[in-house]
Amino acid sequence: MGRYMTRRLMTAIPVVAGIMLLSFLLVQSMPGDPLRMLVPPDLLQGPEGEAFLEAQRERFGLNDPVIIQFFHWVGELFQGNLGFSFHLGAPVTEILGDRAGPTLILMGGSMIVALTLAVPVGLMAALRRNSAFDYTASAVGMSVIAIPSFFTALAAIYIFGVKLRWLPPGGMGQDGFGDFLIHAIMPIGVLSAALFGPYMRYTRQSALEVLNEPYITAARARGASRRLVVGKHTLKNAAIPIATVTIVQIPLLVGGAIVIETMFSWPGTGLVVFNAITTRDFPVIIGFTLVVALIVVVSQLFLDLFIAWLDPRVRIEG
Amino acid sequence: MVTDVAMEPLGLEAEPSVGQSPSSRAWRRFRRNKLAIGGLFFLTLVTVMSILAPWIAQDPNAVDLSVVLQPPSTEHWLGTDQAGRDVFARVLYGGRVSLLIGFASAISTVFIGLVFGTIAGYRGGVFDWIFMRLVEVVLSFPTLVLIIFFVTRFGRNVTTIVLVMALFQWPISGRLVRNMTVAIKEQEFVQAARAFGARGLHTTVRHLIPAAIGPLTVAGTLLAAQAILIESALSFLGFGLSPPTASWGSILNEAQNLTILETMPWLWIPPGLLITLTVLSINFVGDGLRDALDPRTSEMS
Repeated sequence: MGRYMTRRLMTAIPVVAGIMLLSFLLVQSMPGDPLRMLVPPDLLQGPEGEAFLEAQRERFGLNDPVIIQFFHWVGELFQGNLGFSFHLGAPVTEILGDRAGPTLILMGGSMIVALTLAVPVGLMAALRRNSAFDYTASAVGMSVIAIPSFFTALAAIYIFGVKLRWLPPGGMGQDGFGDFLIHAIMPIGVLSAALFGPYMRYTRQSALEVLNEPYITAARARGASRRLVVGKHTLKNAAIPIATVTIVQIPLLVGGAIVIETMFSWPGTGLVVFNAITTRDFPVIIGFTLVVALIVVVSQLFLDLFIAWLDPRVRIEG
Repeated sequence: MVTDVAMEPLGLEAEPSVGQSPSSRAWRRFRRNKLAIGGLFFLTLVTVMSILAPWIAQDPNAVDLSVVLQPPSTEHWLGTDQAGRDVFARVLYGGRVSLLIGFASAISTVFIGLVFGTIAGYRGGVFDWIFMRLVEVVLSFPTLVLIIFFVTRFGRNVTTIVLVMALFQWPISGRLVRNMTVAIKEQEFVQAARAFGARGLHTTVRHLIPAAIGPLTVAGTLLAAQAILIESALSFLGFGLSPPTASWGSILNEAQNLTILETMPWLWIPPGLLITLTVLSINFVGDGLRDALDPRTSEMS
């Protein structure tokens, strides 16, 4: 396990470094003085502002070579400083952190809903391959992949919000849990519809691969019941690739969350980023993409270590 | 067709095929797939109509305030929008933008992936290691946000959108090419070619790239579908091409209010349906191509 861990970390650390480097390049490509995004804006007011700026430029080492600046920037990063918003006059970490809750609820909720629907359907489709059920599931899966989530959202708002008036067309309910739930149904429903397609197809494919393994044939030959073969062997072994795909899909899911949050006025980080784009508030945008990328890489790392801990084959071969 | 060369090196000539080239067999297999043929038909129809837009439709940007928000009629087949512009014309001209960006991005993405993937897979070692880490780095970022960032920063035009999409999508095709190259490099016919004195570049061009064309065509269709979806999201959020240029996503953006949603379905249903059906068709064609080009996978999925 120790050796696998070292080897896995040896690939993860350069990736994290690469993510930071790419983000730093984005920061460098920003228009304007990079110092202005590192300093609280109220310190830049008045005539002392310029002198202060010059002193800070020296202090932050902005007269240093770019490579030294990069290490300074990474140092700030490790202290949780993602810079300051151009327009909101607050640290990016604070702006994003304050709004992280609703986004995590939206994304987490959609993942859970999509998985509880997609895994059984995908598994069933694999077990009854080439049946009517399999074809229907595939057709539904392909269709939901093709529908842009904003179109699903418009249709949902039209049907449930405007025509039937069952659900509120936007906002996040503040009046207790019931109100919150009613507001959450449409955003989570639409986002999970977008996730259902890839999750279902992937479950089906992984299950098909597992079902072709000799140990499944062996289990069946020994007289293991269908329920045991599916429940224990197939699902257990297909779970690993399914878990991996949920993480791989996060960057796409984030894009979907931004669209959904804007359409439903869901007060999460997606809405913050949307507003940051319209006001060209680059530090917020870069900070957000950096955080997402780091989350993806770190969760991938933990998942891989967890898999290796469960499955000795990965430790030896992988 | 290039597909001839694609099949032979993999040693897939198992079934007896007298007097038939692999490409004609692939086409026969493709033709049997009804969904793929249906998709190809719809795609051709949409493409031809978009190309012929100047001859079929009216001026998409002609503002006429005397006919604002009219329902479909013989004069305006899909009604008019808030500025009295003909929605049918905007949908057709929008198709030009969406399809152009979709296919141009897919081709650029595949090309970058082909170059990087072949080098990484063929050279191996440090090249390969750096390549694989770079792929992981790029794929960790939320693509939509980065694309929007670059487009708002460097200009809302077709070239920027296409280049930026290729810049953040190439790892998908690159990794595919790289894996194929690694697998093919070890095959006997390549080793034989090397033993006969074939040099690096020659082996690559002669054997590795032709073998990758089939899977890359399939990946290309999926990337085109993906690019159309990304572009539509970009335009829907209002960060696509600058107005008044229409794209399917931007028509939907203008329709984003409850009154329009409720009472003027002609403003938002047609472009939304077109995006969906186009992406679905491309995916059907992609699936059909995969089964037709590689007989082994048709059994698997």
